[in-house]
Amino acid sequence: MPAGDDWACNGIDLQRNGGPADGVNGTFSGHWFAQEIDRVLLNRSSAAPVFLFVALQAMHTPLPDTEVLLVLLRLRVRGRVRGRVR
Amino acid sequence: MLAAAALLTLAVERGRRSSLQPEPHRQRRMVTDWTQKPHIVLWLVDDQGWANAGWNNQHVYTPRMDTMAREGIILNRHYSYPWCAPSRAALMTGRMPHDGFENMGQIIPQDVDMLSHAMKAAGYSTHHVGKWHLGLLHAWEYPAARGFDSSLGFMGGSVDYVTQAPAGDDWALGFGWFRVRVTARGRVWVRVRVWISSP
Repeated sequence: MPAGDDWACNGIDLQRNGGPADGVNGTFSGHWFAQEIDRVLLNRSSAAPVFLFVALQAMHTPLPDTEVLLVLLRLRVRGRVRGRVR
Repeated sequence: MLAAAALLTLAVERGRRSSLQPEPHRQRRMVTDWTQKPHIVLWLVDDQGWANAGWNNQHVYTPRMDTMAREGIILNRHYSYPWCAPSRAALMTGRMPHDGFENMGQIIPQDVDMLSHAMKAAGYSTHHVGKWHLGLLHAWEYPAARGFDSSLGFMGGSVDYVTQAPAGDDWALGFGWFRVRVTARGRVWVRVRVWISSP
């Protein structure tokens, strides 16, 4: 999906500690989320317990090709299709 | 990989629970009263519906989420909103989602304390990974200025999953069934059921 028409912006929306974040652009978000989670949890500097708020990007839009999945899920709920919708 | 990280670190104070059924009401305790402080990983799946989780709907197959829920704690006394930002604001402030966040530029006011402040006061080191979308116009609205020791993520409402370029809202259109009826006079009626899902 191209950048939205209502956002007159061609930039990149990424920040680390309030400044620009380098090194993660162009990677699927779930992957660098996982890297950052590992960094936070494995490289703890103090003995303080960790509170980590992980706000996943999925399942927010823009999603690819959701129409087919929506139809399958609706049919499954109605019992028209057997099996599971994944 | 996400699930693995969670399973490694999700230390539950009360021990493992045997079933997914909600426990009977127990005495409310504040986090500042805890004698033993577990690590806490709070997962927010953006725009995931209540009925889109395996433990609430038998038609939905979410094995990793089920595992994390079974070994963690299910937040089942919480009100969310039909879309993302007020739900996140409610989770981070403990206030009702309609309590002023949905039409105020999606910014939590400066004088409202957030969950990160409470955890900070309880002696935790606080970290944020992922989406924010609780204010991005001023420096005080950034997670680094609102009680989080570290933060990595994107600030806007919807960005591309790979390029992280801001994207517009995407509306999905689905067709449930259609029925064709031909009358005796030869007229053709077509009924179509359509549903629209918004972000």
